[in-house]
Amino acid sequence: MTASEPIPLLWQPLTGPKARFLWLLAGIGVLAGVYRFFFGLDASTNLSQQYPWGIWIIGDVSLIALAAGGFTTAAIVHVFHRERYHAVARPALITALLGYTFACVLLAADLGKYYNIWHPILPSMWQGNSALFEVGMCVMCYLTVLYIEFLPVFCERFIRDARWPRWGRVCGAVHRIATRAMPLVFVLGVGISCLHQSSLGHVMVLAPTKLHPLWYTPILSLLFLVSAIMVGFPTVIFVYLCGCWALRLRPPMAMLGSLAKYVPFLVSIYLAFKIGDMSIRRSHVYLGEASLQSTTFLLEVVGGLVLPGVMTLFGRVRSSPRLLGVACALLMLGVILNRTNVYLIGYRPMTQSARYTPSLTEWALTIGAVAALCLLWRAIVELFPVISGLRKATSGRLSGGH
Amino acid sequence: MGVLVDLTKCNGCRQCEAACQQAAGFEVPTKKELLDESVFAQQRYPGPRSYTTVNRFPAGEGAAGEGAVYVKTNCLHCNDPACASACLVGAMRKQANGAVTYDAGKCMGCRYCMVACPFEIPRYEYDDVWAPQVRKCSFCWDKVASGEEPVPACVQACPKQCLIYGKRSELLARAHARIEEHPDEYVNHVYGEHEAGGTSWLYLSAVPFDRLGFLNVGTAAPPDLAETIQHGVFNHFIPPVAWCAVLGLAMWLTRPDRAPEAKHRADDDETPPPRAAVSRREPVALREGQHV
Repeated sequence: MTASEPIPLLWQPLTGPKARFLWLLAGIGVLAGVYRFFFGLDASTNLSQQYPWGIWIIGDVSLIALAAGGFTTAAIVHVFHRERYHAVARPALITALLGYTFACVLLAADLGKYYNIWHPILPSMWQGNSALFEVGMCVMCYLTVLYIEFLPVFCERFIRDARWPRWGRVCGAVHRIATRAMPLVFVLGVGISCLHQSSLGHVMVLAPTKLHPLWYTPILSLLFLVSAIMVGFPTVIFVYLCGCWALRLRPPMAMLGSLAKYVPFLVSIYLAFKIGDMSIRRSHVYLGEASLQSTTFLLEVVGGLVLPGVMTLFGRVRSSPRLLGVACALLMLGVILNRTNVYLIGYRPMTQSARYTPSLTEWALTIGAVAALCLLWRAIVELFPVISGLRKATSGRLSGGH
Repeated sequence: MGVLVDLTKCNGCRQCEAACQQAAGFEVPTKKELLDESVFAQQRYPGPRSYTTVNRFPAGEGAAGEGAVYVKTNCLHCNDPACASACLVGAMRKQANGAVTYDAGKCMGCRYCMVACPFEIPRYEYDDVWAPQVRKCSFCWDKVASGEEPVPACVQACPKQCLIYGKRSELLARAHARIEEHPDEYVNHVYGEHEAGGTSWLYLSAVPFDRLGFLNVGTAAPPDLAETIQHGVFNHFIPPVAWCAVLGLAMWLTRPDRAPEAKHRADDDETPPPRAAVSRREPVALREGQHV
């Protein structure tokens, strides 16, 4: 159905200086993963009996939150049919796909018995009271949905490729079926996303004595959902800008800026929930305690929410790739900090002897996963029809990752 | 079932520790080690190789007995255990006799149980590379439930009748009776009666519990609120399904006009794609940004 879509270039090795740096980080990450695999959690992490969850879990939760751009974009483009934003749908899909995939990689590293990761599928082990069961089931379903959404992109690459006519016909058939199923897949994707984004917050509702009152609230699930929806578009915009920078395209600022108009609106909804919850629970008294927790809470709200929210109010920011990129990055960092606060900084076991600081291996694997994610994003965008007009624009050499 | 621990009777002999190590197949302390009082120098928490520990606390002023109180720490076997509510594969289970047990075969090692437990009891074998397990007191469930042993190993080992195994309701009645009989010997508080929704293990003490390392966990069972919210959101799957239906309706209502769709059909040799998946091409906005 996309005869007009140019078949993208073949693989060009990512060998620019920036890409080489990412390769290095990813390589170190692989080494860290191998070390974790052969020497275990005790040797590779600083996790303790008091702090059973470290930055790998934060990486999971943050990646999934940032990958929310996949479902918010799917909602606006495919459910509400705002065709104007069609160009970001596929880059957002790839971002979500890789975000969830690498969240699974980090999760597998963190699980003591990673080979039992499939256990929640077995009805004999279902445990419907667990928020994590809900998350596990939804993430598995949504990962499937994302790969089905990727099918048409994959098939379009080969449909009209004269080199493999038979394979092209197979892809054509798959493409036809996938396209027909797509409306259902989009609706399921958005629905499932809302469920597990919220459940990720609900996980910590089970630890009322440990989570700092600045974050502990019965509506933690709602806050997680709203913040995920809020950070979706900024992430998509940021990734798109990075993609344009890496591929040397001029970013379509009119469209991205228009998408950014939603941001202050979404930020204020999230802020309203957060401040409303705070005033009902009277937790604002903890802001004055000048602790690590109160500092990071203020940083999260002011630096990662209010500041970028106000920034995106201005047309000048929305039309400047650099300023818009900064605002979006701040929002992303704000949400990452929020997840870190809820899962680690605000988590205060009563019998603790020493606080947890991540080990080198934990950092290496986390950073390596993000680097690999960037490289793969760049490769997929180049190999498959993700960003329209890419072929024309990049007929020369390509260098650098993003 | 449950255990009533009368802290005023404990003399810190640590026979319960030794019996527990034996029953669990861990390293058993020698007689000499049991007499060594230097272990009390700092508070010891249960670990992956020790399900129970006895600690010494200063009795402080106005307390009955000697100058020290010995406190046995282990899994309290909550009535509504947070670890069991947390476990996504049901590896943690509350058994009929009150024991909260762990099934290593189901466990995937996510350690949510450790995050959820308000008493911070489950321990993880981080040093096991290939098959680490969560470790905690099992109330000797396998042996007691099968009738092989009448009571858990620690209860059997206690020479001072400090630990009493029995029906939880009867133990509670007995605990309150003791407080009533000797109001000057006990604080008027049975730890475990209401803590975290109530636990199978119950404690009597002469010294306020917060001075003995007992955690103030509140009286609500953590799963109460968490499960109520979750089952509200997933009420027979009605809300999620309704949400998807609303999305589908929105998709149908906002479908693009027929005109552009007809155009698509013209340049498409395949069957007309469903409305929602239409128009994957030529994003309007990209036209302006195509060139380097």
